[in-house]
Amino acid sequence: MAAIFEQSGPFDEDSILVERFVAGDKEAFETLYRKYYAKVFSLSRGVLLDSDEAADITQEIFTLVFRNLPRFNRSSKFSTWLFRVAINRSIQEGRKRRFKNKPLELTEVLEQPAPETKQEQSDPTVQATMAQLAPQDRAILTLFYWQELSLNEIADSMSINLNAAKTRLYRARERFRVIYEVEDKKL
Amino acid sequence: MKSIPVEIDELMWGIAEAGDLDAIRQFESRHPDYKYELNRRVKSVEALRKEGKSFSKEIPIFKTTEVRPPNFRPVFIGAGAICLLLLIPALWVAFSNRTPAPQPAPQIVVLPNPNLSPSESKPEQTQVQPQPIQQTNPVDPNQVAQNPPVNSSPPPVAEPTEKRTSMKLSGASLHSAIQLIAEAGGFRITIAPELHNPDVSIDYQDKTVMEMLRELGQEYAFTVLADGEKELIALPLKDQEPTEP
Repeated sequence: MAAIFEQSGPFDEDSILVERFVAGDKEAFETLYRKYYAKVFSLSRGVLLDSDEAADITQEIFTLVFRNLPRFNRSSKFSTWLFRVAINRSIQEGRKRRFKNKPLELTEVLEQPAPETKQEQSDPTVQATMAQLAPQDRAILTLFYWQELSLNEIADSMSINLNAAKTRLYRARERFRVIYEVEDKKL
Repeated sequence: MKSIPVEIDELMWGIAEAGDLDAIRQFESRHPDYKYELNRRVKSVEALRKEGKSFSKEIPIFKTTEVRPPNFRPVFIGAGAICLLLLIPALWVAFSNRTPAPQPAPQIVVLPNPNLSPSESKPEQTQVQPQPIQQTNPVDPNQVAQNPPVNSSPPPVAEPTEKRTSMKLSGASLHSAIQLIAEAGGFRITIAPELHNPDVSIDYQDKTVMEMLRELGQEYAFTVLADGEKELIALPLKDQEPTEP
């Protein structure tokens, strides 16, 4: 059975879970959720650069997937479709945040309760660098370096062709490197 | 600083992403000029990868019970009710336009002419017999002619002409006098062409239009019939010369 699950194609594990869910088995979706939550959260966080917002968006993404999974046409892998939904939703939210966010006044900062200490230890240089990139650049870097997807998978997930994926990745990592070096010198 | 060739740049990124120390050493020995550039790429790739592994999130419970497919039934019911509400008046308007509105039955008003005997005022002696009036009015014309409704209730068409007025004309033709009197009461009158048209002089004081027409008809041997609400027809009572006033 394991051999069957390992192969990609219409009979991979994800496809079976999708079929079970469409047939009414809600636990099948729970399995998919547990399997992909970390990846989707990581992707959203890479685009949004905020863990809380990423957690909210991740829930929203899975809600969208839950609602629309019966309409999933199985022309691509479930994971590709899921990442496509996640990327689009995260980039959409990232663009919204760009216009929504404004610098906080000092009084506002003082009035706010102290933020909870996060267990994660982000590299401030990387964070500062990522914050200066466009959401699309952050998305492709996240998919490639964090999710470790192949260029073909990235192309499928971003609904672009392979050459476009290569070009976008090349430009994104060059931008990242240039800004990273500047930020690294600052700190 | 000279630009890095694309193939060298791609090779450096490839080596940086692979993270193979042997490959790094080999590259540095072959391309010592790009050692610094390779290190920059290695450093940025390592930083990116490390950042990707730096956080982990506990998986929250997915509340599938909160997610329900949208329920369109109330929307459909509401839309149907609105359509029905719009359809009813539309149908009503359409049907009310198609079926002609019931018009008031044309009424025959025979103005009595006491100077004439009943035999003289028989309808067969008149040349104009308006068909619609005969169709809609069940009253037998012979009976009407034989029993002129002198004492009957006032004709309904006389109601708008209840307003009393005065009119004085001298040397006017009969037709124009009839026309003027009728117009004073707000009527359109059709005068039969066979009605003679002598010059007349009238002087009516404080009379209704119908009274004027009746008196004039008595003098010049014509009668006035109502044809609809605001339409009158002036007909000669017989084919003869008018009596001298």
